[in-house]
Amino acid sequence: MKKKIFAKRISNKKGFSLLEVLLAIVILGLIAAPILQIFITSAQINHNSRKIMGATDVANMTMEYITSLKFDGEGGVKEVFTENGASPEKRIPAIGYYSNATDLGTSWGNIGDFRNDITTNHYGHSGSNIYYNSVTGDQYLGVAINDIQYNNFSYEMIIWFEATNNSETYYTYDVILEVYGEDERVSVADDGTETPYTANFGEKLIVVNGAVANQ
Amino acid sequence: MKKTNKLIHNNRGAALITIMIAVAFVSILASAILYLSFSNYQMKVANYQSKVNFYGTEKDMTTVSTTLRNTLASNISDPLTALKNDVGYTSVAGIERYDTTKLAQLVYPSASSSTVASGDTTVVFSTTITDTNVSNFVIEGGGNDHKVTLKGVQIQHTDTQGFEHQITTDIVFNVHKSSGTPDAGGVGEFSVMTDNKITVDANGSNTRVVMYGNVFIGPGTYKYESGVINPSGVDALVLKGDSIFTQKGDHMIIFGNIVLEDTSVFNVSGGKLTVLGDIIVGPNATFVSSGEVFFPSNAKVIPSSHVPGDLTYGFKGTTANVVPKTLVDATNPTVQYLTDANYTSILTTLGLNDATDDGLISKILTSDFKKLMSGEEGVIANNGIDGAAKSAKTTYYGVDYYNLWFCEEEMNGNKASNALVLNGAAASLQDGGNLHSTIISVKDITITNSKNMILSQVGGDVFNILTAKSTTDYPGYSTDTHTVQIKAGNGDYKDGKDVKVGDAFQTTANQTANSLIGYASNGNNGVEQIDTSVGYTNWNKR
Repeated sequence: MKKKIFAKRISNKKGFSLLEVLLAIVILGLIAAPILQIFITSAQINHNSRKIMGATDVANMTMEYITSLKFDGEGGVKEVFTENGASPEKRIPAIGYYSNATDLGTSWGNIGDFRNDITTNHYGHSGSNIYYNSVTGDQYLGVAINDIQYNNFSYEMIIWFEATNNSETYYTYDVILEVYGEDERVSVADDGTETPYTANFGEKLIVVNGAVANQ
Repeated sequence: MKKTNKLIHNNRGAALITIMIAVAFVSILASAILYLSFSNYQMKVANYQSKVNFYGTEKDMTTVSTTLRNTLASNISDPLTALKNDVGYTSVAGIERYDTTKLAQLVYPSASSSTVASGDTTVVFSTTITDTNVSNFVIEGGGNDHKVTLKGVQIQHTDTQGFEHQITTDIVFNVHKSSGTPDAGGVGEFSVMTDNKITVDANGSNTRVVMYGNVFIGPGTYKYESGVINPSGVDALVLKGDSIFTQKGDHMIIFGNIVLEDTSVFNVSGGKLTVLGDIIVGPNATFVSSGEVFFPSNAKVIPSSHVPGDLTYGFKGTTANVVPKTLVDATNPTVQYLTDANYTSILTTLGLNDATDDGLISKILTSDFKKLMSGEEGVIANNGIDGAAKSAKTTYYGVDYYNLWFCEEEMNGNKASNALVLNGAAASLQDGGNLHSTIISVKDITITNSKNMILSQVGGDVFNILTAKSTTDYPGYSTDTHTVQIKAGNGDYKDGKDVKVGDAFQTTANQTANSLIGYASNGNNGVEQIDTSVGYTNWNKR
């Protein structure tokens, strides 16, 4: 009798044993982990595509604004990109920013140069002075615009002007817009204190190249 | 039978199968999400690439039009030929066409064909007028005004991913050839511009007037008809008593007579004097010139009404055709003759050959701006003086409103320095000191003082504007909006009203002033220049 009951118990295969469950979990983890990574990747791709779309819109609006400007020509300057609160009608419409204009001199410069102030001794086209936040000249000129807020992202932008035609009468400026995503790094001190990295011009997102002529 | 039962109750491996089904489900979900995300990203990139291509294409089109515009402007002698060379113009059996390779070379000088590799972009210059029996280079107009159209210019950018953008348009150039001295400095280089008479009356004591700027005096009878200058017979500049008038500016242009009475002295110091009238020198007066003097040629057509013995153009003293008490005579090489073509071209170019014309000043002042000289109160409608739309009509008070334009008060107070002075009253300029200003006057001016009166040009073609005075405020000028503050007071002070002057006034005035100098004082047609404008029609992009 005891042998028959025990045999019945041994032959009962319903349910999962603990071993099976553990093995199943291990297999699930090994196979699913890389698959779940896809979700993370998708989220990152969406994030980047939103940034690119925002940067594209910023560059588009800026380029259209520059194209609409009338450059006064001989001895004339055009004030653009002025700071928040100062002559707001001269700022690029639809986007908010703080403009920190810098004269990037005759070279592409590095990030450290962006902190220099414009000097009025920089002579450009036809001997004109280059003024703060203005555009003229036939040398490399860059204007840096900081803290652009658009589409819940933060950007920076450098706008380069290079005269392609040095005629005294009619001239064309190449305009190059470089839009950067704000650096989101965090610096960690020895004591573990985290500080958002405040350096500007992190990841270069897009570059748009256009031209504008005096009218 | 027993085996089947065994199979039915045997669930070995069920865990593995369940896991596989779950993983498969998750994988399908993840794949779908990844695909959507990636598609979204591709769309954003495509959007960015299309914008990059668009601006790159627009850049090339801008460069083409600007380069050609420069070609036109910098080839004064034959701008159209220079343009044709730049675009590879050909004319076969009347079919005129441009070469697309030459267009490419305007932007990319090293291009050897109309297809250019620029970085990772391929740029193609072409024309939509592909039928070689149809002209795509069209010239209209003639003389000094032409319109050149490059039809169907097409530029396409294609990058390595296959994104492309294409712009198609007609490029239209309006070319106007004019004469004048482009660097004459415009209105700001004049001390005085008037269609009326200037009288220097010593008023019993020495009166010295020194004009450091250019001077134009033109009583409005210098119209001509049928190639004949109407002898003005009108006195333009009259010096009385012991007054001394010194012209130090580069150019002095007189449409009328210069009359030197009493012991007055007229001194042309180094500049150029053009007189379309007589210089009538009294027996005790003196005419001195160390500059150049231009008269119309003796060979000009004399009106049939001319009385023999009367001097029409030239010097006149106590004895007809004799030049007394002067350091200049007809044989002096500084005296030169303008040909008929020269002096008639002055009037033609300036548009003064119309018998109904009302003077040079009318050419300088735009119609709205002339209202400011009218001595009236009125309203300037929308589209103010400079053509810019105005949000509201503006009430203006013309100079001489309430007869309170006292030019000399502003001059005495030195408030007219660095100012364009619009004189709408019969002003008597008294002690004005040493001023840098330009006076445009529609009324006679009398200069009487016992001290030096120096009117020095503002210099340059951008200036402040001084108009009717107020009793309290100095009429000002806003550099941002180029407004002119017209104020007038009659005890009850009226608020100043800003009226836009803007670029239109300065452009018109300066062009006219420069043309006047170029024609009148060089004895020739002056320096020619080309003005162009460029436009796009049938702009199409895809």
